[in-house]
Amino acid sequence: MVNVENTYKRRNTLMSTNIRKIVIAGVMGALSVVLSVTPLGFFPMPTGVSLTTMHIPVILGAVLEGPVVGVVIGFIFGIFSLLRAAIAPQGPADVWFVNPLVSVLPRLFIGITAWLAYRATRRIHEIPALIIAGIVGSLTNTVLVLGVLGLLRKLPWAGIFGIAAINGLPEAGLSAVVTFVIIASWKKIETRRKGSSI
Amino acid sequence: MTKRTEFELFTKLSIGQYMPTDSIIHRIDPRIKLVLGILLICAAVGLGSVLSAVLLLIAVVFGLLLTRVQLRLAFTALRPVAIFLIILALIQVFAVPRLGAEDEAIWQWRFLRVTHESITAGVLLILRFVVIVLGLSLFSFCTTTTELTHGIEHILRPLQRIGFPAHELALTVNIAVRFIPILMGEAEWLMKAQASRGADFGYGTRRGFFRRIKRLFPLFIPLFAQSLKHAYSLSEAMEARCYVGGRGRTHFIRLRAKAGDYIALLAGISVICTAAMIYFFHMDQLIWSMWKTLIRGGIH
Repeated sequence: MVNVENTYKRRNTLMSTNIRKIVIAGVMGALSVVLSVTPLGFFPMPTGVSLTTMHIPVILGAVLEGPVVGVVIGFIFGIFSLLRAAIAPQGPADVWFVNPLVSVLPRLFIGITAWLAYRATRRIHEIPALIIAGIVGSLTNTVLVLGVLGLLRKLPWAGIFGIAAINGLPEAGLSAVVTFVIIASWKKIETRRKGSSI
Repeated sequence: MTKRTEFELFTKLSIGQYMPTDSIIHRIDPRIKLVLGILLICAAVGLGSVLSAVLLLIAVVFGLLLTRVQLRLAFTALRPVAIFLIILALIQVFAVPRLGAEDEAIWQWRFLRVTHESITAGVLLILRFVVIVLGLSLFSFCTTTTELTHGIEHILRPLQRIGFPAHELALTVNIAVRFIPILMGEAEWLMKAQASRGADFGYGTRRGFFRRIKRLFPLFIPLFAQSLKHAYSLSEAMEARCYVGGRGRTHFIRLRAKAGDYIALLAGISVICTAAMIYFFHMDQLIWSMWKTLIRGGIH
């Protein structure tokens, strides 16, 4: 009986956004895991190297619910990419990812930079802000992961720049498009094209 | 075995499984398993000495033996990557000397040089990988996801006093773990739905890159939108049931460490400390030089 009153008091202090943040972080983390174990997360490219999309849930979470949620989703993404590289490796690069410095640390920053980019440009217009957030978040992933690999001397710097250009730029474009489409349809932002909303 | 179709996604998920053998290791407090697991990974990555890596490997294999799960199961994860691992190790052996050129060469042929340092780097690469993979299998063999979330929450609970959201973080992990099969089913369902409308997911040969990406969009966008919808309806449902977060919450399951748990913690930490001491005080060089003098003594 006493608890009811306590609960009621606490309810007023704790905002309901807190629950939403927890749930969004959990579900987007799960989505990132699902993408990384199914072919859905890998867009085939003519060059043979697939574009990965596992960082997009991190960007979405950060844009929708703020940087803390972004960091948590990034952490789940990073831990799972470490686990996947260790338990079910698919290529030589996976051996490098069995190092938290490569697989976890860079991913914590995706959400922060994407949120900052979104926050800074939102005032101008919502649509370019979403696109910029997608690009910045994706590039953070590419640059930091490859940067750590370079610092650990796993790859020569010339190769790193090659990968960044061939894989990182299309990945940034893809994540910009997906971020924009999903959040625009979710927030029901008016675009010029009229069509179905999801 | 029936043939797998391209729609079945579940079979691709091959994370380490739980093995209910109810051994001594299974009964250790999940908090202690978590702490030791994290320390093991840090030690394996941070300690650059062969001897300490071997020590960690021995400890992990000993732990695996204690679980009474077949040792073969833990090693199957290593099989597909063995060739890559050896190639990478060889690259290390031949590439490292150019980075630190002062070391004396053991073997040299034109531009290929092998030094003590490069052999160490190659061997370390393999050992590190094996230690981490076996450690993770050991953890997943003997810890259920429920135990894992309880463990996370209980470890972080002292931090709650300074405002760290321990309960919330554990709940996030729990939601993520529970949602993985749901979203997996959703993805499968979407693929079938789109295929029944005549969608072709571009598994064929190279056509236009943008066209192929466009084909995957009807799958990708609904999946994201569905998961957002799930998230919002779940948070509404929790709110409707007066969920108020972790403060003042009591628990049905309370973790209490027993004497055996402390012994396990002590044993684990002492192994990791020994490995760290070997690395930081260069005991492996001492042992290596003793070994060399022994061999020389034998030859002369």
